[in-house]
Amino acid sequence: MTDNVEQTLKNFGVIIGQESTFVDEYEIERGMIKRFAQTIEDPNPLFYDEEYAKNTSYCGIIAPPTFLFEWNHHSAFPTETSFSPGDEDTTPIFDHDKAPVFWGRAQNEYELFEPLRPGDVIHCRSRVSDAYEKQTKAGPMVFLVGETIYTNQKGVLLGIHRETMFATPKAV
Amino acid sequence: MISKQLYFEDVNEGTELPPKSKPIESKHLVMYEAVTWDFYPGHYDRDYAKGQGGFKDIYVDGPMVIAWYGHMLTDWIGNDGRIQKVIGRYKNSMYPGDTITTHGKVVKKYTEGNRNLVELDLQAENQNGATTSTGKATVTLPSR
Repeated sequence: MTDNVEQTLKNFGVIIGQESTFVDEYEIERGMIKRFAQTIEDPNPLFYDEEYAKNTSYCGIIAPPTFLFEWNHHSAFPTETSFSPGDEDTTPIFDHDKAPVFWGRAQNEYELFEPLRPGDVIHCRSRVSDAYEKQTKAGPMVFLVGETIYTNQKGVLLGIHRETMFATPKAV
Repeated sequence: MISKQLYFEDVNEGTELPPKSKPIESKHLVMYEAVTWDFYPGHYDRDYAKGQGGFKDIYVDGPMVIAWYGHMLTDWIGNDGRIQKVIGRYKNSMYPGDTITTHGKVVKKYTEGNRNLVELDLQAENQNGATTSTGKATVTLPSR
């Protein structure tokens, strides 16, 4: 592990492999699914029309494919918005403005197993799975890979999300 | 909108997907933040975004482009196809006023067990032809 990688992990307060779990207290609702489809302007009736959807191979409404991975923005990484709807404590656990690094997303990888449906309650298991340094056009950069495994209330595996973030020292 | 079912036999290496264009307004960024509960200020606060350096305005949350890839893919594979995997990499920022067009092209088709798999290269570009994202996807399709 390079010094930069070690320092970045320390700045973010993450330990490679340390797992966190999160279970929402609310189920996925049809309205949320429809709002997501409306936001990305996808008029597919599979996402809101029960009569249509039940006559397809899905046998009912499902969510657009990437909604699961964006649900509640739960992430392996600490963010300024890692809180649930309804939580009173919305204190940032990671403050972008005070962080000594600028970080952003490099890549998201979504693996889909079963569709997300209304009534599902999502369980997440997250960990930072890898951290490495690479030379880029912009100089040396640290990359962190987070992995989140999503299951529903029946223990069915819905999807796996691998997110690669980059971090560069901020200009002083 | 899905019109008819696509079958494995209909697809060849080099087959291109019908592209999808998304004209972006500020409201789409705000809607996406709300529906995903991700209130990172770079996506809704213009002063904050500009103050970060390198951004000319509020910018699109990266995974939104993967949601657009998802729209293109679900329309193409029909109700009996399934997305196995989709990956998006971020190349250039996307802003309100941009029109982002997603493209997809078949790079490989093969059978594994009883599954008919198709691998695709994905790309998103803005109205000036700049690539804002590249990606990959794997889907399964039914056989005739």
